Parts: sequence; C-alpha cells; structure tokens
Amino acid sequence: MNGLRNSSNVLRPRLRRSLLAVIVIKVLFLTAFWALVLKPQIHHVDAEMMQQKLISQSVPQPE
Amino acid sequence: MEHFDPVILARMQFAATALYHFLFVPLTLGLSWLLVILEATYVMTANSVWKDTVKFWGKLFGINFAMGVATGVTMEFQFGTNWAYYSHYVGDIFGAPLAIEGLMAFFLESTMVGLFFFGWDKMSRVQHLTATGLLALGTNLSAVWILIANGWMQDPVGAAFNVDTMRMEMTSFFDLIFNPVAQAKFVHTVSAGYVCGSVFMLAISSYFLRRGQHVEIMKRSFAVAASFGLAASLSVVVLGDESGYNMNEHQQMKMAAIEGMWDTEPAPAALTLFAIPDRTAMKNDAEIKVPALLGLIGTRSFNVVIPGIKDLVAQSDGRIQNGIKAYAAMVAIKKDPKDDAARSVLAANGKDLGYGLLLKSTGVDPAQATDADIHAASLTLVPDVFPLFWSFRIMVACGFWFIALFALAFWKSSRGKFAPNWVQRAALYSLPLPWLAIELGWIVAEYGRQPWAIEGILPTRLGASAVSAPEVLTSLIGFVIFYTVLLVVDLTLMIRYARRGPETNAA
Repeated sequence: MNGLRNSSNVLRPRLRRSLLAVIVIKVLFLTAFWALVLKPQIHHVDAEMMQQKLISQSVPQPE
Repeated sequence: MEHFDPVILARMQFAATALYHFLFVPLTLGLSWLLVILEATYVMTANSVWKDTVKFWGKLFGINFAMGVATGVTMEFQFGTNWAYYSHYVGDIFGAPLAIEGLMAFFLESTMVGLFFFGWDKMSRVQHLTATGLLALGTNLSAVWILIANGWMQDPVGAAFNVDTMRMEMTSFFDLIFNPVAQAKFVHTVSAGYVCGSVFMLAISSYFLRRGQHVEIMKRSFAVAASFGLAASLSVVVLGDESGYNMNEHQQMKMAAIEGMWDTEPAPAALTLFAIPDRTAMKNDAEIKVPALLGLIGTRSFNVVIPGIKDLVAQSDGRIQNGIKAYAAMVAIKKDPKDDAARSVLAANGKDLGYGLLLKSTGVDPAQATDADIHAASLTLVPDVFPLFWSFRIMVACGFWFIALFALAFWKSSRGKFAPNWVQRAALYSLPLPWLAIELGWIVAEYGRQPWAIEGILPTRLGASAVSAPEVLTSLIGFVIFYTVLLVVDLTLMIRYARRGPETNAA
C-alpha cells in the first residue's frame, strides 16, 4: 500500500504491556473503590428531599 | 473528626480530582494537534524522518493518554456521593452536556486512539492521518461539552426554576450550547492546552538538540512547536481577555476579587500590578497601580465603571431582599400549590431566589432575617481575594513568558539556528510552567466562583449531600493516593521514554 507496511507500532511491546497493566489496575481499583467506599455513600435526592433541604431543614455550618 | 466540615472536605475532594485530572488533559489537547501537523507533513513529503517524529511524540502522547484516561470519571462519581442535592437541582441542565461528551467525544477519541497506535501497518497514509485528525477532534470535542457544562455554572442561561419539581429545568438548549461564557472558556482552555503541548515538545526537543542527539527529528519538532506555540500563546492571551470581558458582565464579584478592587474607581479604573490584599480590612497593602489600564482591558471603553467589592456587597443586600420575597413565595406555593399570588411573586423575583437561598446557606431562616443577617450573607459573596489576586497574576505572567519564549524559538528556528543556545535552555526550564499556569487558571475560575456552585442560583453549601466527614475524608484519601500513584508512574514512564529518544537511525 505504501511505506507504512513494514513500520513498527508506535508502542513497543514492553511499553504496551506497562500501559495496559496501568489501565487494568486503574479500572480494577476504581471498580473496587466504587463498590466498597463510594456506592454506600450514594444519595438519591427527589423533589421532596430538595424541598426539605431548602425549606425545612437547617443547614449545618462549618465549625 | 467531628471538627472537619464535610462540605469543605467535599470541595477539597472535587478540587483534588479536578486538578489531578487536569495535569493530563492539556497535554492530550495540545499534542494531538501537533501530531496532526507532523503527520500531515509526513503525508505531503513522504519523508520518513517526519514519520519517526510522529512516532516518537505519539509514544509520549500514548503514555499521557493511558495515564489520564478515566481520571475524570471520579468527578462524576462525586456528583452522586457528595453533591446529590446539586445533581437534583441542576442535573436536568448539567447532565445533558456531560452525557453528550461521553457519547460523542469520548467514544470518538477512544476509537481513534486505537487506530492511531495500531493502524500504522493497516491503513494508508491518508487514512491514518484522518484517524489522527479525528483523534484530535475527539479530544477537543470532549473539552467543548465539559466547558459548556462549566460555562453554565458560571453563567446559568437557558434554564428556569420549577417550583413543582424543586429544580432548575432547561428552557433553551441553544442558549446552553451557545452561551458566550462557555464559548470563551472553551477557546481559552483549549488554547492553553495547545501551549502546554507546544512547551512540552519545545522543551524535550531542546534537551536533545543541546546534547546533539536525534538532531533531524528534534529540529523539526522544535520548529513545529515554536510556530504552533507562538500562535497558541497569542490566542490564549487574546481569548483570556475575552473571558475576562465576559466575567466583567456576568461575574463582577469574581472580577473585582481578581483585581483586588475594594472600592469603585472613576472610569477607566487603574490596574493593580502588585498588592497584598487584606480581606478582613477590605483594603490592599503595598499597592503598585497602572492608571486606566484595568478599565480599558475590562470594559474596552474609557467611561464604563467597574464596580468595587464594597459596592457589589451593598448591591447584593438588595438582591437578598428580593430573594427573601422569592423564597417566601416558594414556601407559600409548597403549602398551597394553587396560590396564584405567590406564583406571581416568585415569577417576579425568581431571578434572585438564589440570593434568598444564600441567606439560608448561612444558617439563617429567610423569614426571620434581620438587616444584619442580610449584610452578613452579602459579605460571604466576597471570595478569598489574596489567592485569586496572585493566582491570576502568576498565570498571566506565565502567558506573556510563553509568547516571548515561542517568539524567540520561532526566530531561532526560522534562521536555522539549532545548535545549542540559550533559548533551548530557557525552553527546558519552562517545562513545568504550562501546568502551573493551567492549574492556577482553574483556581481563578472555580475558587473565584465561591460561595456559588451555580452563579447566583445555588450556594455551594446547599448542593452538598448529607454525608459525614469521615465518609468524605475516606474517599478523599483514597483518591489522593490513587492519583499520586498514577502521577508517579506517569512521570517515571514519561521521563524514561522521553530520554530514550526516537527509535530510529534517521538522525
């Protein structure tokens, strides 16, 4: 097709493996962190809760 | 632990993740277009030195891309964990550009990055160049949608409060996407990314040129980075000026705080070059001023007045009074949804409802507020002037330095002077500066917006979830460890593979 046929890839195998490992570790960490730490902290807010927050509830102030 | 304020911790968490994420993004934005320029030259000339050049910078781009990918998703996690009330209140508007970013830009960018790295042997030169171009387009489209969302937080156009659903709802998608604040922010931010990519390329090229290694590749890289960087650095200053002009129309308090302008001056106002702002005393110490300059830059006129902080605080007292009326009407409607009189009051004063909520966010019931409470709430609108004043000045100084650096580099490269010289040394030492300027720019834009999450609409404190300080602290520590490890790995790989240089015999 052209002069590119015999060229090597931009990422050499060792670097490619390193980057792949980083991405896999990153995804695993984020998945575990999400499941163990963040998911229990998720709050679903609806109109009633918003009303409660803006009208009825007192807003905690910093110490 | 009970002494920690969960809202402050949640803000720190968002700031930490945004600032870490933004270490990777600008280099991707800038290098992607530089790769397009280098590869287009290769396609036009068929000279393999250009191909080797693309591959070398493509490798560094790949390291940065792999490290940066998914670092932004943690901010979206936080909308559900720490900012659930914010998400309900403005999700109808804010969610749309974020969703489009994922569907349009991220998928395009992710697909094309695969073609860029693994398509060299499988596509023609023009096809591969097209993939590289689409990769650059995808990264920039991603910035478009994120900055449309962010621009709306600075100037919430195209939306109205619906008292029945207790949230803001979109009234005009057109207004949202063509928000002048968002457009100015987009071009300023991506230009800053182009400067970042250009300084990166210029600095590393200089490193090799000073050592006399890979000269054929590095002198080409130096020349391309100098040309592209000169155009980008001029753009970033001009477009930053446009951003400042918008700020003077929509975020006057932020503008006054950045300029350390406590009192309104006769037009055209003086520009304060140096000062030590004192927020408590509401004055500056050790001021050095240039007459008329701020008025000319900020308003582009001789006779438009820029209001000072004290006057803006006084004006806010009036807006809070209107906000109290809107708030009372909202309360009445919630008691009796058929109260048409209350709906009329809310319609008339609805634009200042956020100011009533500001009072609420300071712990005062708007129905019981005294004049002293109102004035105290107005004073919370004054951000911390010292960090804003100095962050802005350091950022601007970096911007002017980049123009000088690229102009010198352009001059050297246009005369074919690539032997070791002092411009290359200056470029090498300038390597960290784009990141410094960009992070400071984020601080100016976002810290300067406080106490608002959405300017004039939702105070930050009312957008926070009812999470405990230990919960937020745990996730904050987790994110900081995660991002620090990523940053160390990124720097290690970047330095190792940059030092190794291009894998070619062409030089």
